[in-house]
Amino acid sequence: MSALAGGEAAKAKATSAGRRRLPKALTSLLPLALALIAVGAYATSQTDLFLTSQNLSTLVQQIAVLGVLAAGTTLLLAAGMFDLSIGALAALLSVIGAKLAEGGSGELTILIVCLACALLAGALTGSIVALLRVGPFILTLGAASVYASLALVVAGGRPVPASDVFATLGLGEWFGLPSAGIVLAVVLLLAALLLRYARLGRNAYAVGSSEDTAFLAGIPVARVKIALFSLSSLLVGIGGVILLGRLGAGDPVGGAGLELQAIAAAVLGGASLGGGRGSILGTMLGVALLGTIANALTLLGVQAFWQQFAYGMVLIIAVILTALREHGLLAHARRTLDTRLGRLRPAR
Amino acid sequence: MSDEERRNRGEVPALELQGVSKRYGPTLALDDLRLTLAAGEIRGLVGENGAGKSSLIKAVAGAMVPDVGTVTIGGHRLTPPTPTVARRLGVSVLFQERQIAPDLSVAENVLLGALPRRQWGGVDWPNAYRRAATELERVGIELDPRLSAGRLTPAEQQSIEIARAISRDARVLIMDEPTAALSGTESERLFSLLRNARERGVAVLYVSHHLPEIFELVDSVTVMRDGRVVATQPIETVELDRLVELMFGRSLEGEVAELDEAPVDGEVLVQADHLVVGDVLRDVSLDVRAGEIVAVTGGVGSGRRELARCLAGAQRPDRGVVRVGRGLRRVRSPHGAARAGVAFVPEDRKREGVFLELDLTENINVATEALHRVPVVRPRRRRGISDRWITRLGVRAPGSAIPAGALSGGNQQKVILGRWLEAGARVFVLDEPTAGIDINAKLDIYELLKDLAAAGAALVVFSSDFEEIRLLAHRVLVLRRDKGPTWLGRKALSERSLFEIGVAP
Repeated sequence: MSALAGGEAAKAKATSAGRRRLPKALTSLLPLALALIAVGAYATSQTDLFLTSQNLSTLVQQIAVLGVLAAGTTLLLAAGMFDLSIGALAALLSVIGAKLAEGGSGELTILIVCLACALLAGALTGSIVALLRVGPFILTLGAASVYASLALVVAGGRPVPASDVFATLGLGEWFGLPSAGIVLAVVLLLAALLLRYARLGRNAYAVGSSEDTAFLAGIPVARVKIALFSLSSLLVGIGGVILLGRLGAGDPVGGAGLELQAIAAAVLGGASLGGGRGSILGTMLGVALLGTIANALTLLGVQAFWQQFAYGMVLIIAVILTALREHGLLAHARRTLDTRLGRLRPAR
Repeated sequence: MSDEERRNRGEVPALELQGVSKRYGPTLALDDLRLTLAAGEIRGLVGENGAGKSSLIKAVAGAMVPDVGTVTIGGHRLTPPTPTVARRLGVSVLFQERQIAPDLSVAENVLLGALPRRQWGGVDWPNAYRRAATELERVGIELDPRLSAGRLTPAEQQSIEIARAISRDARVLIMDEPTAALSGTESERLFSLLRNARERGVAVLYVSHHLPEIFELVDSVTVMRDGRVVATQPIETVELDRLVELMFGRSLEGEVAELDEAPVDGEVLVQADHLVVGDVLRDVSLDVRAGEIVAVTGGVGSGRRELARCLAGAQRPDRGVVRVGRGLRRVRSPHGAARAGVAFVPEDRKREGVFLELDLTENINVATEALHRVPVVRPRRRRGISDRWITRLGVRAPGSAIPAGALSGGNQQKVILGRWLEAGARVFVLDEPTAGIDINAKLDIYELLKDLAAAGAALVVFSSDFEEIRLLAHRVLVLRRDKGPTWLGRKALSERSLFEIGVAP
């Protein structure tokens, strides 16, 4: 106690309370931003095709689906949860949409059906996780398998063509900007506002930080979990529709691997599987990095098979860097010094 | 004379700690600790909560690395200080929680990690069962080695651990509150087991709050306070009163204002009717009025924790009803309890009390926001709220923006209280509110709790700190594992009276 007395507390105040807050948010994202710039700069130096408005529009369209799904994943990760079924669900919804279009339904009908199905799926998953206390890992792994199979069954094993439906959303422009990009921007903005200003967002971080504490502090933990799964799935509904428009078909395997990429992007952006952390800004940078890598590899004529390799390496390097920062030699040295000097320090 | 012989004749101490210190953040858990234990000696170790007993155990078990000082076991230095090395040097620790794999058989648990093998790596089961039975017999227990360990009584599980320790040729046996979950006859059996081990030259360090059994069992007793050894004496030369005095040291009496009389006409704000939880809490009833502070005390396994959780809505009783707040609404969840004005301050502050990674603004506003229907929060307003409570409660923190994990225990506790004060709570359920908290924060919290009572709140303080109970409580409910609950009035309170009826924290 005496170690925290007057003078030292005042000193700590000068460094930690006011000035350090914003820079801290930025410094944690700085490596990611630098990596993004580095990949962009390298691509620009190697080919003239990268830094063109045409290619940047394409890039945005390429990352729109992943971005929307990653926003939902960030909400779940803030509360210490995740959903492995989102990729398969997006594909299933795109197939359902294509089938409806085949039957002559309009875009509005398709949109409503897709969103409703998504919401239902999310509410169901969330209820099972929250009320029956089933771990999300196996549950959503099972759900992913079910959705993937249903998509194949409904589609009859091959993509269902639907070339005109949501073509503008997937490939076109609104106000001279790629329309998928606009949808993505709106989704990211709303998700960011939700996490920062909505009670649900604050509760998500609380549940992710310590579920026991949240429960005992009166937070209705089950309701929070159901709401987050529902919201995340609703975003998958939007992602499914964009996917349908972009591919011009309902592809039963078109969402494969998106769930892991979404988690990878969020974790690159500072989220943790343990919960209580993560931000939409970070996730956005993570999505941009993954998208830029894929885009650059294509432009540079690298075989597409290397794309997963690059994603994997980026993720591995990121977690190693994070671990070094938190438990590594540097952190250890700093902690020891702090203890010796009796300074305030976070428990972890 | 060989080392082995000298060791057995007690010339080399079985355990020796020299100048061991350990600092955790702002608190000194062990302060230049010195302790010597001879082979064939049963030593009692007593001290109030937070005196450093667990840290001492960890240091000997290799579970913690002291900042300075040396631990020597049977003449060998514990280096590097890891659990493996400690075990190899003959240290066995029986923690309060049973270290038993419940799905494995008794034999596998006794021979854990040392099952006899056949030539190709398969387990030699006949041999394993035979050896387990022998080991159990050696410590005087009859158990079928084929039984599943999870289905045994706590006492039987404990004897498995003792058999395991002895079979590994333990030279130093440390027991932390071993009788907490045992009945009277089971305790007697444990004592004869330990005397038996003493005959074979094992040194026993016996940690207990239960002073009567200290007098019954041990050869000598060491008293710890504030991370130091304050006395070590043969048990014949110590009196109970003197021991209690040594344990508690300086008295807080005089530093805390005299408690006001409890109002007799206050509104009843807590009403628990005939609560039953499993076989730990058997038919307990409790009424608390506005302005009243009721303390609840009892040992581990007395149902104390369960009662606290029932009052806070965190656990549903098997039978009985809890009603709280104005209009005495029935409690079904922490959310419902909070809505009815109940504040819960749990015992495990770090795991259940604060959000370690979140800043103080989040930590303080969380309960209020969980109750109100407003779907959005206003950052500047909530920052103002948390800043105000930090100032008003005297939290030593450089503003609201630091994570709660950076604060000392006392300040974390103030943050939790601020959370509930902001939410407008009128009923406070506090589980060990000052455990592991330094003296100044403790006094602040006592004053705050008394002010709350004076302002018409109803308080239930679950505590094993007798001084705290004496300073705060209008009435005391004593829970005991094998007997029914007892009420004590304010006048009947003394540390000694509580020790004598055998409630150990």
